[in-house]
This record gives sequence, structure tokens and C-alpha cells, in this order.
Amino acid sequence: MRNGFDVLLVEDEPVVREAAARILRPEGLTLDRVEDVDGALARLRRSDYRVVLCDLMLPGFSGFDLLERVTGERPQLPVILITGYATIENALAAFKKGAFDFLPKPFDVAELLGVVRRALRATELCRWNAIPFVSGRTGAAELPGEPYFLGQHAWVTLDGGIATFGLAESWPGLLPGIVSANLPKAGANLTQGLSCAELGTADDSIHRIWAPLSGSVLEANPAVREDPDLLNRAPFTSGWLARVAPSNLEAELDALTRRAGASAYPARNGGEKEKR
Amino acid sequence: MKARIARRVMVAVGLVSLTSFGASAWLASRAHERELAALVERQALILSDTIRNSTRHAMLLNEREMVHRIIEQIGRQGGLEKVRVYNKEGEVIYSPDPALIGTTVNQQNEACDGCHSDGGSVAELSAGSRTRVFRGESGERQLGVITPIANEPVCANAGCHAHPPQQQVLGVLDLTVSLADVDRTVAASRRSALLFALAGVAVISVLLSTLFHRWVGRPVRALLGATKRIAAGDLDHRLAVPRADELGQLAESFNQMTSKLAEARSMVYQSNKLASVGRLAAGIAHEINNPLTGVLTYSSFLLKRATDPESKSDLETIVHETKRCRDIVRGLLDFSRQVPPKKTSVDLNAIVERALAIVDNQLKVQNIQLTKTLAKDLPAFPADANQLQQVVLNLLVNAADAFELGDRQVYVATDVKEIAGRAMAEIKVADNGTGIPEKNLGRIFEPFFTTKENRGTGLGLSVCWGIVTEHGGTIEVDSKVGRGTTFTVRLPLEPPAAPAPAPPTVVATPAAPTPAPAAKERPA
Repeated sequence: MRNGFDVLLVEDEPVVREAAARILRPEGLTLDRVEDVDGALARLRRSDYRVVLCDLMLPGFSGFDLLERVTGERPQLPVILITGYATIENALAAFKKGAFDFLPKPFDVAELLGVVRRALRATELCRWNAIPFVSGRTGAAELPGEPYFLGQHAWVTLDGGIATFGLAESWPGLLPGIVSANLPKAGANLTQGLSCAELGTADDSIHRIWAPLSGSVLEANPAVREDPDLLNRAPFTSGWLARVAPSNLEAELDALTRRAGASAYPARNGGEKEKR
Repeated sequence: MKARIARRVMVAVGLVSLTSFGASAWLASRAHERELAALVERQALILSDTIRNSTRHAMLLNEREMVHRIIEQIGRQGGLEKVRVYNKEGEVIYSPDPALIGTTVNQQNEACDGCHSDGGSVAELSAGSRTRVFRGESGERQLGVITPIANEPVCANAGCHAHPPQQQVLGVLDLTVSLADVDRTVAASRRSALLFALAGVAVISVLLSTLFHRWVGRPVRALLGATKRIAAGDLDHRLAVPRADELGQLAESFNQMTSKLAEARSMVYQSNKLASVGRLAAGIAHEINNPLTGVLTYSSFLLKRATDPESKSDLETIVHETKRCRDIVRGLLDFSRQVPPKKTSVDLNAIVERALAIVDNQLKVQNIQLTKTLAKDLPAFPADANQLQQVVLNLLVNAADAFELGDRQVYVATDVKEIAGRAMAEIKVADNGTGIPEKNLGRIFEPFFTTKENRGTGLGLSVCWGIVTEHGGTIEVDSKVGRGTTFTVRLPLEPPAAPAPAPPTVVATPAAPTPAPAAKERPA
């Protein structure tokens, strides 16, 4: 029988390893810690994990290398990239390469717990990279036209020069209930790959949403202001997040992906389901 | 270089004046020589005729002694080299030198050329043919004049019956005059002409070199010195422009060039500074974020578990201050994330309106009265709308922060101006607040320069500067303590014809996770 851990932490900085352990252990989570990608790959062969937390800049192979190996070999294992060098390029590349989320340093307890819990929940529900994804009543197939995606983090639809975006598969049904939403104000400028909103959930955790495109906010969804949990319940329909006048759409579409069928994502994973 | 030019000019001028002086002096001396020669020739002819006429009577009477005496006396006269009378056979019959008498002169002798040059003989001679110039035994030039003594009826009928009547010419009077005096005079005049020419050349050269030194050498040397100083980095050096000639204009252009260069250098300096700050920021962010993660996670973890209100409050302070550190680092990263502008056609007035909408509330809360004058005919032009909005927002927030007490006014205007032949869109943001002390004016665009103590990162205005510069525009500040501050941003409506200087190197593009709201970045 293979031994298992909840979290595999790949981090070369001792203080961050130690701090993460301090935060995750009281939550009843088991943690395995390694310092580089080679060590992580060896551990992945030996043990089962539910979530991988990986630093981007590591001695030898980078976090992106590990991400590619994991999405190729064990697509249903969510990888969260953490980095002290949170560039736009890195954030966009992380989502394009299939990361579950992107967590810039320094983070606090609520932020780390938020993203780890969300990823654990996805694993628990066999939800990560699984198709067809159906969260109760809703799916990306319900989006009008041909939507663009920032990984599985957010979706964007375009209509007459106005972009609407909302949360994609790495969110709905994975949150214990959204209690607060810090949404962008009308007139604010969003930058693709930078944080555009923050959600507070019932378990005292905080979640950051990365803007899928740059532009000036026309409005945030007033229904979501009233009822933030709409983002959780109906992310592809009434729970859209904001409408934006894009400022640099053409160039930014490169960072986004399209899907062969609105519900078939990512194509390389087919319909396989990983056995745990 | 200057010395060489001066030398060349002097050599050229010297050669030209020497040639012209020399040529004119030579021509003048030639004419002088000819005149003198003609005078001597005329005198010799007259003298020759005089001798013939004065001896005529004695000859008629065949009084040879008398003829001898006359010729001897005339022969003693200075300047007369020889006086000889030949008979038809070429025998010298009269001469002051008794040794010559009785000698025979060959027809080939130069003295006989006048009549016998072609082997025949001529009875009549023109005045020109009677004279000849030749070198005497002592080497000096001599003028010979021959005067034929014609046969006359009185000679043939004379009592001595010496001459048959059919004979045309009885003999020849040959007079030789020395030209030494003439040659001496000519040589003297040539010498003085040469001296005069040399003196003239010397005077002209000295005069010219003095003037050249004053009018060309000195300004050129000043220009040269200025070039060297500029090469050494002294861009504050200016040339005096004393005259309105080409060199004066050159000096003026040179000064203009220098000030442009100084401007460009300060821009490059600023850009480099911004670029190194970007590098620094990226480095700092990476290095500082790991320890900061430790502090933030531990403190927030402890805060979560703390029960004792006192430690809870302490921990809250730690978490709060750590988050402030995080925001500062993010601000740094935001600043270093100066990407080249993504230009689309923008409406500046709309950008200003949007920025105003964002600060509207803040202005109202602070009881600030806003006046805006937006140009109606402002054309759309290529620019990065987001970045321009950031600039306007920054200036507005700075203006809103500029007040202490009293009447609070902020004035925003857009306009179209023609600056140095280029159409520019202009944004003015003015306040009547506290103003910026003069010692700070030169530094407000520097990264990390702030007067807002704890409230700003000191990056806002340098970010503005970076954005405006990358748009090919300018940002200026005009401020008086107690009167207020005006920021003027000018952006070109048309992209420059020539490729603009390369934008400051964008180093890393580390991005802060949350765009620090512009309102938080308060530099000056």
C-alpha cells in the first residue's frame, strides 16, 4: 500500500517551508516537503498527494517543469504555483500550462489556506481536469459565442467590443460559501495577469481573482454585489463578474485559450479519470 | 588644427601676393629699362650726329689733325666707350685711342651688321638699324651707334680729290656707349621693387594673421575648447556669441545643440535611473518576499490563535505593518513594470473624465473645488489609455494632497498646442495649495523622492515621468510656495517622423499581484 499525504510542498526556502507546515498542520493536513523538482518527482512516484504547492524559482528545474510533468502524467492532481517573483508573464504562463492557481509571496494564513482548501476540494470531488464538468446545474457550455479562457481560472466572452468575464472551473462548487466579494469599481483599470477581485469565504479564507484581460471596468455584476455566492453557484450565467472595455485585446488573447468544444477541456486529458 | 589652418591661409596669401607683387614689379622694371634704353639710344644718336656734323668741316678741308682733336675730345666724355671712324675698306682712320688707328675691321664685325648683314651693302640706314646692343670685353652691355658718312658733291669736288664722285658712302662713324649706368639703375629699381614686394607680403601676412586670429582663430579655438569640455561631460558650458556672422551663428547653434544634449542626457540619466530602480525592485522583490512570507504567515497564524487581547493587538500591528511592506514591494514592482505603451487611438478628454470620476469622491470629501476646461477640438491620438489615465490620476491625487488650510481649488484643462512645429495635446493640472519648495523641484520626478512621510512610495511622479517620456512627450512642473503648483503634460499628436530614441530599457517586468491603486502612490 502506498503512503499518502495531503500536500506536497516544493520549496527551497526553509522559512517558507516551515511556515507553510505551521499553517497547514493545525488544519489536520499532512505535508511532505522537498527542496527541488527532482525530489518532487521522486516523491510523486512513491506517494500519493492531493495537492502540489510548488515554488516557481527552484535550483535546477523550475516550477513550470514540474507543472508540465504533473499535468502530463497525473492531470487530476492540482498544482498551485507560489512565487516571490510574481510577474504578469509568470501568472499567465502558469494558467496556460495548467496550474490550478497562482499564489504570490508573501501570503498570509487566509490566502494560503483558501487556495489549498479549494484545490483539496477539487481533488476530493474528482473535479480537477475532469470532464464533463458539471457543477450542479451549470457548465462552460452555457457561455454564449466562443469564449476564451484563462486556464480554468476565468472565462471571457466578447460582444461588440465589450468583454464580460467570470470564474471558470477552478472555482464553482469548491468554495464553502462566499461571504464577501471585493469587486472592481466602474472606471478602474484592470491589467491582465494582476489581481482584480478578492473573495472572502465562510471558512475565513481569502481568494484572489486574476484579471483575464486589461481594460477599463464598465461595471461589476450588481447581482454579485448583492449576493456574492452567485459566483459559486452560477459562474457561467448570472454569476458573471464584470464587464470591461478591453484596452489591448488583440495582444492579450495570446495568453488565453479556446476550447475545441465549450465543455471539452483541456483537450489533452480526454475523458480519462485518474484512479487514486 | 587652428594653427594649421592659419598657416595654410598665410602661405596661400603670401604666395598670391608675392606672385602679384612680383609680376607687377617685373613688368614695371621691364618698362623702365626700355624707357632708359630708348633715352640712351636717342642721346647716342644725337651725339653721333653731332660728331659727324662737327667733324664735317674739318674733313672737307681734309684737316685730319682737327678731326683727330675733335674726336679725341668727345671721346674723353664719360660714358663714351669708343669713337671710331672707318673708311670704306674698314680701316680705322680716326679714334681717340691711337693704337686702333690703322687697324681693319672685318665686315663680319657686329658693327658692320647694319649694312652688311646679308653679305651685300646698303647705302641708307634707318634709325633703328643704326643701333645695336652687345657685350663689351669687360662683360658690360654696350650700345653701338653707327653713322654712315655719305659722299657729297663738296667732298668729290674738294681740292684734295680724295673721293671719287660715284662713291656713295665714304666711311662710318661708330660710337659705342656703355649701358652700365642704365643697367645699374634698372637693377637698383628691381631690387627696391623686390624689397617693396617682400615688405608688402610681410605686412599683409602679419595683418591677415592678426585679423584671422581675431575673427577666426579665437572663436574657433573657443569652439574647440567647448567641444572638449562637452566631450568631458560639461554640458553647462556655453559659448559667448559676440558677433552675428557665420561663426557667431555657429556658436549659437553650438549652444543650442549643447542644451539639447543636456536635456537628452538628463532624460537618459532619468531613464537609466528608472531602469536601475526597476532592476533593483525586481531583485528586492524576490529576495524580500521569502522572509516577508515567513513574517506574514507566522504573525497571521499567531494572530489567528491568539486569545490574550494584548498580544492580539500586538500581532495585529505586526500583520498590518507586514502587509504594508508587501504593498510597498508591490508598488516597487508596479513601478518597474513599465512596459512600452500599447497605443490605441485615445480621447484625452474621456481619459481625464474617467480619472476625475475616480477621484471625484475624494475631492468632495476634502472640500476641494474642481474647475475643468476641456478643449472641444481635441483630436484623438495614439497613446496608451491606461497609462495616461494613471498619469492624470496621479497628478490629481497629488493636487488633492497639496492643501493644508483655506480655499482649495484644483484646475484641470486640456488643450492643443503647437510646440516647436509639432502639434501637442496638453493636460494641465493645477492647484492653489502649499507649493513645492525650490530645492525639491528638481527632485520630484526622482524615484523614491517623497515629502509625504508615511503616505507614499515616492514613485508616482517618476512613473508619470516614465509613461510620458515613453509616449514621446514632456512633463513639466511650475510651483511657488504658498501659491500652488501646475503640472503640464504634453503629448505629441503625431508620432515623430524620425524614430524616437530607444525607450528606457525595460528590465524585468515583475508584476505586483494587485495593482496598487494609484491613490496609494503619492510621491511629492
